[in-house]
Amino acid sequence: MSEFRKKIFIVDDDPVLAEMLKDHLTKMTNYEVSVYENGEECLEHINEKPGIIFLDFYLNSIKKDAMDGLEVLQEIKKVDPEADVVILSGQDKIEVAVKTMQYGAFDYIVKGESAFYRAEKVVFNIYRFKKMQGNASMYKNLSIWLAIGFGVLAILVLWLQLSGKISDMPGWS
Amino acid sequence: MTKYINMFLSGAPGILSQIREQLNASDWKGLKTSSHSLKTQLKYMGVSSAVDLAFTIEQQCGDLKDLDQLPALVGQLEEKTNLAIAELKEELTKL
Repeated sequence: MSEFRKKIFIVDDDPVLAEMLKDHLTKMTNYEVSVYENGEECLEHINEKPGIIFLDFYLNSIKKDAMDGLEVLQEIKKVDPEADVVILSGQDKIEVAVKTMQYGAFDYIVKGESAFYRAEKVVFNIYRFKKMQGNASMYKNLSIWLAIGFGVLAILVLWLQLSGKISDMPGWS
Repeated sequence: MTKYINMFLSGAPGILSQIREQLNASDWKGLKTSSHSLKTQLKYMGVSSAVDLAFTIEQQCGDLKDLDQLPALVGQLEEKTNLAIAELKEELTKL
């Protein structure tokens, strides 16, 4: 079972939005939130194993040669496929959302009045999803160990029976 | 809120100058990105009239359509954003 990741990265070159989202998520969730201005900075810190990355679609309004959101998304998925990436965009276009999902994004949030609430909901959905994944993995491991235990017990009983060590016990013929 | 207003006040003038430079250089791709960036910040500061202007500039640069209207639109965007900056500075003194 993979460990629970407690970090959120926000990657956006809009400092006001990034700070507002950071404050909101810090207040509403138990995650530790860090902000990066561009994808390159985010990738430099990817070994900190963030669980969720909020990634802006446009990342080159300040640093013109910065990687764009889709390039960063692909790079994140290459180096850390377990990190869930949520795309933030000002574009309310279904084709853009579908494209980001095809590249492996978990969700797509349109920047606007309800964006912070949506971001908070996505964090809880990811948390629940990971918890369910963890439970499913735990039950799977438990059932494997139980099957092994019963198998060993059955072999032991059979061996004891065949060797005559338990043939005199009541209930055994 | 004071923190966010201060961040907007320190960032917006820079984006506005960038928009002017990009217009002068006919850098439509850059102008599209900068107006998009300013639009988001204006939206969170509640400057809706300037948001519409930034959106129009972004669209026209993206579609390379009605480019001759851009100098006037950028002029209006500068005017409205500078007015918002002045009002927000005044608001800050009251907070």
